[in-house]
Amino acid sequence: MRRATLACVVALVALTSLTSCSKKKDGAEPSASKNKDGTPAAPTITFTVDGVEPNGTKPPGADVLEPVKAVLDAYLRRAVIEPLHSGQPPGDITDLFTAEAQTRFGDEATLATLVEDGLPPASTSITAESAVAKLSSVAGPDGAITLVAARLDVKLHAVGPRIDIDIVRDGELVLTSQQGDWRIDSFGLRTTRNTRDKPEEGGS
Amino acid sequence: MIRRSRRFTIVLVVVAAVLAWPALASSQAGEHAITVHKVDNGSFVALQPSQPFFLLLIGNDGRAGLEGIRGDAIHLVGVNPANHSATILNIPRDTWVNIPGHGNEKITRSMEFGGLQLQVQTIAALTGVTFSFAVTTDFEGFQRLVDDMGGLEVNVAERMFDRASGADFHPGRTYMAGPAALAFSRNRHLNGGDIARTTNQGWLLIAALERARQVSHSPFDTMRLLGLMSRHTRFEGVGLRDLFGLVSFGLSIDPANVRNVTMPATTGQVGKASVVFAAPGHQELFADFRDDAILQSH
Repeated sequence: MRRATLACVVALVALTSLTSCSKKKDGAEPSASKNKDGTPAAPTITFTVDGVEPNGTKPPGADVLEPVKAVLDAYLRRAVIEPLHSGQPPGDITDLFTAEAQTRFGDEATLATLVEDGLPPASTSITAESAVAKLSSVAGPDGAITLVAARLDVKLHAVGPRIDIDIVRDGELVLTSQQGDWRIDSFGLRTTRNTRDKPEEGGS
Repeated sequence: MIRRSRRFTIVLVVVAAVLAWPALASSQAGEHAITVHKVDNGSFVALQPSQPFFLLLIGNDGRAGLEGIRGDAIHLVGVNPANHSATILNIPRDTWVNIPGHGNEKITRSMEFGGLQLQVQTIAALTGVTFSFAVTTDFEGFQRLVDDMGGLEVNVAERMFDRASGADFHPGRTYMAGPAALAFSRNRHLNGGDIARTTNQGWLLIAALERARQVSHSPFDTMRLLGLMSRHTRFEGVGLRDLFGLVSFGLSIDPANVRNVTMPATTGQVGKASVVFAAPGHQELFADFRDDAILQSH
């Protein structure tokens, strides 16, 4: 009993530390940093972890939460924020996914729920009203945690010379650990886009 | 010692997980009513497995004070991912078969002679089916699992009143808590005897799938299921990722696409023992089942 309580405390401390760390960045305004070629860099937006359900098993510690959050943040940055900012197709994100998950990339409709692609560059600003991940983990009988589900709720407002749009991405990812390497093993996401009224900009 | 009355247990679920249920949290941690045993080198990590696969679900009569556990409720589950369909093929426990290394005996005794491994081997030899997973649960586990699911709704085909099992049901859709479900699965005083009872156990499996689908709608729900399983299940060669894929896929199958078929059989005697003999046509049925988990000709 004491051991379980202690484990919960440790997990909560780890979670709090991750959450507070993220909150500083969540919804951040476009950073002033620039890419190597001098163009403005995409803003830094990361997830706030809003709770972990251990489902009656050993709660995850920082050894699980940190790499899981790192994968989620990398997914958000590389699949959503960077292509939205640049207006270019996303770069290679296969290293974030297991081989089994990658087999679904071939379906364009499925891929469209996963990555941001095809919009004009939102180079003026990208802000996050919400970038929250709720986690659910399960420890096996041996106590090892090799499976974590993440319920995502991302609400972005993106502005550029030819775009002023609200984007909502929500759904669930399931991550698995193989020899300590966390990757997204399955996904079910939805995306909605709503364009805001934007005054015509001269002569287009 | 408890008198061995061949009474019976039942089964597990379409997927072991399907029966495990949230209220299991109230059960004592550390109990392992269920064992999930990986039989071959197959893997279910892909959420959309493309090839048909087969599970063996066995209800054993294990309980405190009873020596020699037998595998009483025997159900082969074949899943065809392409069609999103499944077939439950039921084998009566008293089926007279050759048990490797032990000669001819009732198939239920193969577990007593050599544990789950020998029972899997015996059933594989009988049917020609290669199993990926075998799942077994005991007498107590079954009742608790059904209760923790919140009970099952089962279609009762005929009036049942049987003091031995405690079955007392009228025809029609009937709610059953754990003890009632156990009684339903044990009652063999029916038209069709043990063969009809075996078929009824298959209906319980489908009822369990229906119930699980009512309350499981997302990966988070599946994770809860796995959490319960993790605390109450012994995994032999099976990982959580495997189970997640398997359970997710199982829950995606509409119960309307699950067939419940019992091996053609006749009853008879061997010495003083009442037994079940595989009837003509059983080999064709097994062949039809094992090629793609769908019964085209039956």
